[in-house]
Amino acid sequence: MQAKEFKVKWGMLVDLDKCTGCGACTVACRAENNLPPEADASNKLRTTDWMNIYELSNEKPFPDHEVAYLPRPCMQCGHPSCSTVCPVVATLKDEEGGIVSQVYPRCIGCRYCMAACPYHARYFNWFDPIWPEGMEKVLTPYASARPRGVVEKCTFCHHRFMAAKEQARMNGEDPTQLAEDAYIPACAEICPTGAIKFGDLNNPEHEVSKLAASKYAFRLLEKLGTDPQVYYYSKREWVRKLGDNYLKNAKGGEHV
Amino acid sequence: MAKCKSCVVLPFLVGLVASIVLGWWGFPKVLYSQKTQPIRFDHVVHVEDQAMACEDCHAFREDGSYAGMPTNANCVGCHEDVQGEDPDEARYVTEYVQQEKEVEWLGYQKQPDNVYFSHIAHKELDCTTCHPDVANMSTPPVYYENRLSGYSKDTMKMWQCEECHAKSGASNACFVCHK
Amino acid sequence: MGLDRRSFISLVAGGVTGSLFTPVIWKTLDDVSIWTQNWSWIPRLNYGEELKVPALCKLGSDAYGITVKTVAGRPVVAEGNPDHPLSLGGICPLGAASVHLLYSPSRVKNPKLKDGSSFKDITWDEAEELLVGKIKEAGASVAMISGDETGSVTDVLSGLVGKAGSDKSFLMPGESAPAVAALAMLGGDGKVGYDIENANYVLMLGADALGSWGNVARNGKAFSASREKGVKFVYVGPAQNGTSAVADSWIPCLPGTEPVLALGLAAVIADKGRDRSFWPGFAAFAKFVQTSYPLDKVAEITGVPAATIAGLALELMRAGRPLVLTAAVAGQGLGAFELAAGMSLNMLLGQINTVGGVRILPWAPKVVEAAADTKTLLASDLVAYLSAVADGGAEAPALLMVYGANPAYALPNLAKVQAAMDKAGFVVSFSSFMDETAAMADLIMPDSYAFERLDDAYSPYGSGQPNYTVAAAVIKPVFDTRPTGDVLLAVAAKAELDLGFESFEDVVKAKAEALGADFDELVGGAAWISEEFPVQDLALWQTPLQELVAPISDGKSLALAPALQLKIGSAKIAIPPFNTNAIRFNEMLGTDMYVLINAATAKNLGLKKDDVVKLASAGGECKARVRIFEGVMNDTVVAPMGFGHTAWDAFSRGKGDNVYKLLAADTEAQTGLSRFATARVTVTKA
Repeated sequence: MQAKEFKVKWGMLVDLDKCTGCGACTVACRAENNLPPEADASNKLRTTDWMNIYELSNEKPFPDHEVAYLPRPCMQCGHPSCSTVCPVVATLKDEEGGIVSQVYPRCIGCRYCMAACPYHARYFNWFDPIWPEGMEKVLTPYASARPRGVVEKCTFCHHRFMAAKEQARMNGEDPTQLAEDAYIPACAEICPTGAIKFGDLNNPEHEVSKLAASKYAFRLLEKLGTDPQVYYYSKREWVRKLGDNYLKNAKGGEHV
Repeated sequence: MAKCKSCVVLPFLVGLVASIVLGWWGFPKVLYSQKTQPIRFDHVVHVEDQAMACEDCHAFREDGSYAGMPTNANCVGCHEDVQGEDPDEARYVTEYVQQEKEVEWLGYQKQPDNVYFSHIAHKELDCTTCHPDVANMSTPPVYYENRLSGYSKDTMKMWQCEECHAKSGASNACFVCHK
Repeated sequence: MGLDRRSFISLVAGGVTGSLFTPVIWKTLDDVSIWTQNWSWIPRLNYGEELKVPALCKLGSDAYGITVKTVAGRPVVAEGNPDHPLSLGGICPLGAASVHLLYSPSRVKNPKLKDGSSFKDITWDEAEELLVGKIKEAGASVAMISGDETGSVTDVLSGLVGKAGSDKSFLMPGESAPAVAALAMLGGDGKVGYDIENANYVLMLGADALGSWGNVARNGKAFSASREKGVKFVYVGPAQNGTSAVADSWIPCLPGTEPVLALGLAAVIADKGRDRSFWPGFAAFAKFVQTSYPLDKVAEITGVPAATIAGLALELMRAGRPLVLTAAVAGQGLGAFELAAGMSLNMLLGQINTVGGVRILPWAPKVVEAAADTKTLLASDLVAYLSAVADGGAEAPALLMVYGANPAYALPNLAKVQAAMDKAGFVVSFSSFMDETAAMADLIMPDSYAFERLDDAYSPYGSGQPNYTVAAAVIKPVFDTRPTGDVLLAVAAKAELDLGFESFEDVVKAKAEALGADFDELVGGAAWISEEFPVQDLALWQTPLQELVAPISDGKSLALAPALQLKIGSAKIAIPPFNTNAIRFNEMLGTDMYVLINAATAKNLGLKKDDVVKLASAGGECKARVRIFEGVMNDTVVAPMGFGHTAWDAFSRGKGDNVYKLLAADTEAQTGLSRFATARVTVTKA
């Protein structure tokens, strides 16, 4: 599939040397995007975790053990596996900026996209959302409330992109030339250590594109060819090597 | 019994015409319920008599979003107390302003929650391109509500937005209009 | 002519054909498909003007300014406040959950009176009258527990208790009490803060600075900025966590023995550092640390190799502005002498009351005359008092009032605490939520939730500068609740214990004025910050230090390392509705919580992954499952705090077990403060 090239490429860079795995991004994402409250979130095959934090380990015994935390939003892949398999075109990478869209009313819930996504970044609404009495009053107007039967995923807080464009228009500026800090997803904005950086990967002035060019930057499962727009950064080699999920016993794939 | 050719054609035509009439006239009557606005807001009084401009109530906020339906905060500047003799105005003051309750205006162009529309992106267009021209109406038009879908009869469908976007060169990417 | 079958079929055929030229079929199909998307139980969104309103979050032990976004006046989302010195745009996992707690299913919606084993709803007038009666009846036999160390409501409550003739006003345990006492041992007087932003080497002795210690959001921002400048952060503690993951190194150290390490470091620095012999008190201090804490002894007690200790000391000596943060990993449980060990180390390094070092912050001005000083409050130990009440050593109060705290869940010696509270004549909880304390209280007079009332906070523990934050209500109370500050003032007046203020707002205004801050600016979101620090004469050994009680390993038990993660909750709040998803699959299995031990420890105990185990200590027992995690020291078990709630709601009730049950506290003889950071537990298959 020929990937569309856009002038702007919204991307994220997560500095794993600053992520403490606190979970503020997970919680803020749920609040911002009206994710359903889940009293029992222990079955991870039934939860909706647009921003999910993984605990990484160098798998060495004490005292050589090292731990790291990796927040994983939707990769907004340059060559998305998900949108190519959707039978009803409910998901598509067709918007300037490169955010892969997910249109809930069109989704028929076949979950083919979930099978296709190598990052497990897509979630199915197995249940209707149950909002404790009154809690529906604190829903944000940013994302529609999804019924059961549709797939959802991180949208890089696309509504904030729209809001940034409205603000630019109000200020008489060009909405296609947003300033670096005009549009930032909730997770990146609130991270206490500032581990999540966001911006235009095509703009060499933006911090994300400068850091993405670093030798310490890597992406997850790059060899699959998905061309993710989420970069990770770590000075620790064992963390970088985990990015391609080398199998312990595979030839040429040493697990550090 | 003699075969009567017209006995096949006539019922067919009767059925045809009846269903066409029912479909075009009867069906909408059944499908749409008629509602009126909670308060009979008189645009003429405000626009002509009070010489108010559209932007006094329908304006862009500082962040670029559009305040389409004014809230009580807009109205109490003048309507803290009853201003005139209109019974509807009196009702507004007693039932809404004094109870600190917002009026639940019916939006003729109401869109579902999964649709995102930016007024400021469309500010080059005339309001009446999409909205009924209420500025010179004393009584707001009847609100026809689709009993099945719950939306207004005048709610624009996706193809109407897509068509104009295609013609004007604006993007028709999904996320431009959906959330 | 009748309609025969052929005509009828023809009629129908005509009808069907005609309908194809009408919109009926297509429109019906389209509308039905929309109807199937619009079930009535799927909530509709509400739109309106979006505003950003400043607010104050005290859900953890910190108190910092955040921003609440409102749409048409309703709060929808909480974010950091870039203009607040303790947020700088960041927010912690509790702050991020704060808006939804407004409608938590465990909110207490109106005053409640105990009726048998449940509650009956009463009116505010009835509740206030009842409380007034109880206050008059109790006379001086009244006590209060507050979890709000920084706010003026505590002043009002302790003022009420003080005016009634009682001195039984207590704060929940935390880091401040031992830190303040430790500072006093050096001759200082004031609150304790840390100028992390300007340190160029930060040694975290047990202080989970990026996870739960001090001002978490601000610490994160300080860490991030300092990292860019090459500042080194070293985390010392029994287990790896979020802070250690991003620190430059993790030094494994047995839980609660980090202060011993501080003294060991002091011994090396006193010996090898530059000449300090002319410092008052240095000689006695140096003699003490070098005699009582030589390298091999420290290595044995802490588990940190002697070479590592020597290396650390060297790094501290070489750093221009080192800063040592001493704390209990779980945010509470160290005694004053333990904090004094760390404080003395900072003193030795010349880093007290200077840039990049420990900061002395002036006490908050007192505006409620009858209120207890913060200093007095911090010196009175709640756990010791309640344990004494349970044991019969102290008289149970006829009236016990609890504000902003959950002592029936979040205290060590928990069994004694619960017994003491049962002995109390009449227990009143002002909790906004049906927490464990409210559930066992006699009367609940629910405080309005944080965003529904005026609130203030002065210099939360750890602040680098004196600061004062005031936040107005974001929304009017959504339930029949009232701000406790106002309720107490009204009740006090009716009980003839008038505190001299009409409303809580007047108290806050008085405090602002006393600080020289502008109330309107404060309410507008601008925090008051001062650059003035008291100049005080400090010296080592002003109070002679004592040898610290070392935990005794008996070969059967493991050292207990409680872990506090804000995403799970705090001493005040259970798992917020949106945080259940932040709990990973390797932290909970179904409704069981995992405790962490490494493979070597597991082998010694004959335990495997996912085994159900019982942790038992002198204080009590807990049930959990085993997770093998190599980021834990040998013979140590990490147990997460924040689980095991028995009240609250479906989001937190019945998940895991309460680790506070395992904490047994002993009392530090000289200060009366409780110590409970060196607990030991046996871990056996359940």
